[in-house]
Amino acid sequence: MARREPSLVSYEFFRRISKHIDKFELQSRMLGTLYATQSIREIGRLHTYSPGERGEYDYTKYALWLYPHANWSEPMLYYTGFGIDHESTVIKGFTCTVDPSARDAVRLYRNCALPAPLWLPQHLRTKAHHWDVFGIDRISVIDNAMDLTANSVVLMYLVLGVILLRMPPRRGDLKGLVERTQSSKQSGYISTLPGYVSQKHMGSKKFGGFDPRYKKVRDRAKAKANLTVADYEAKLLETTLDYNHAKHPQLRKPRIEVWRDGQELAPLVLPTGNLQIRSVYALTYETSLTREGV
Amino acid sequence: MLTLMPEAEGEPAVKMSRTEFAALLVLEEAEMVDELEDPHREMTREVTNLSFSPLLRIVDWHAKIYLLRRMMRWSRSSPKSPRFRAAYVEAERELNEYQLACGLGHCKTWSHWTFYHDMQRWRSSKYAMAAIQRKGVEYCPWATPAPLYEEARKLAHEITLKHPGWTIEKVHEEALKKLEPSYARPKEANRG
Repeated sequence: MARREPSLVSYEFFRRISKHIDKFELQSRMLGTLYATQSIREIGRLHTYSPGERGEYDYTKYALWLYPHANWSEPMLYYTGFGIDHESTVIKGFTCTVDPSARDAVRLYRNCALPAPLWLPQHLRTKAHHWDVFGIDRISVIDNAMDLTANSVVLMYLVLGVILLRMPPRRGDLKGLVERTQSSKQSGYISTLPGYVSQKHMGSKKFGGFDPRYKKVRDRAKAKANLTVADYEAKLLETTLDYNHAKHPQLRKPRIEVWRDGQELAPLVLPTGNLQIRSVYALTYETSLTREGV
Repeated sequence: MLTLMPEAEGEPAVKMSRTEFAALLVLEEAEMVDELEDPHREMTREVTNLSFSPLLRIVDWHAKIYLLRRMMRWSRSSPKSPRFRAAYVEAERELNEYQLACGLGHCKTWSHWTFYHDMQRWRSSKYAMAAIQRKGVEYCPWATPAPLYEEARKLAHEITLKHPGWTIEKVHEEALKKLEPSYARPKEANRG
């Protein structure tokens, strides 16, 4: 049998090289730039260097039927807002709301920026010791939802000195980590709860609200609902702590350790003083009219 | 948990979680006082944290440290020299004895060649302990490949972008055709 001559450069070398060829360029030559832009987006992993550098905030598209409290007769559809830190991927805070508004956006950011004992309900505060994630980000990323981009919310960011990035519609990839976190929470925990409605069954812009085709699905979920908001928040807190103490997928140590280690390099910025907190997060306090004014 | 030591002697230390401490800071019930000295600016890693590594990796790490310290005296000799090789065999034997006495059999070993280059890399990082990573001494591969491979890389990009539908085999074949005239090896004499 004839001995095969080894080739000058091996096939293996070419196979490895082929992985590094620009896929966008390749697709644009095959299909045209218009199609390539739609299927391949030129994004790499965005790199941040310390926790607290970039925070991402968003509401879930899926929702949950919950009773506002135990004495309520009919459940309501609640969305959950999450704020995460980009570098360490810890969940900084969350909030649940029926109808996301500017007040809820401010509340979401307040929950992320203030230490947990200052905003968690009284009966959950003992768990706050394990959740030492707080502080004002350098950059905050939001999408262009009406509630997140309201004037009062932007004003809050302005007062705190945060650089605000508003991401365009249909570009979830530009704040992909918060989307991924929401999806993890959904698949790992929230979808198992009674009263859960997935985003597919919620609706879309086409219908200007809830999708009439899935009304029965939503009604069935509503019939199953048995949790109150307080129950849900308590459980969400537990799973959030689990999530924060799980290993960071890239850095191979618990997310919260990444966060804590980062504090030595880039210490946190905290809002201080009752006056500042009450004025910056004014929307989250109940208003009452007295003879001194509002 | 944070342990706050009081300035006055005789008072007990206060233990609290970071969250509680931060809450006090926010409510302005506690205050952070900056240190007056400038912060340490030297950008070297001083500590390698092994606590997240598996146990075997930690054992390997200690073995490597032992061998590095033991072989420092011969770091200037060539790895091919009999002196170096004899010293390495001796060091390995001692280490092995010690490991067996601890009840550790079949631990990881390194060839004298690998080990010599570990020492060279350690030297280039100024013998910093933190340069000895979980997987050995910090190492960067060479950035400049041989001209043949550099050209092959360029050709691979060029051909793939020109014919996006081609398989890797076809691209390989085409690139070899272009490379062979300039880089062909002398043919072996026919032994028949």
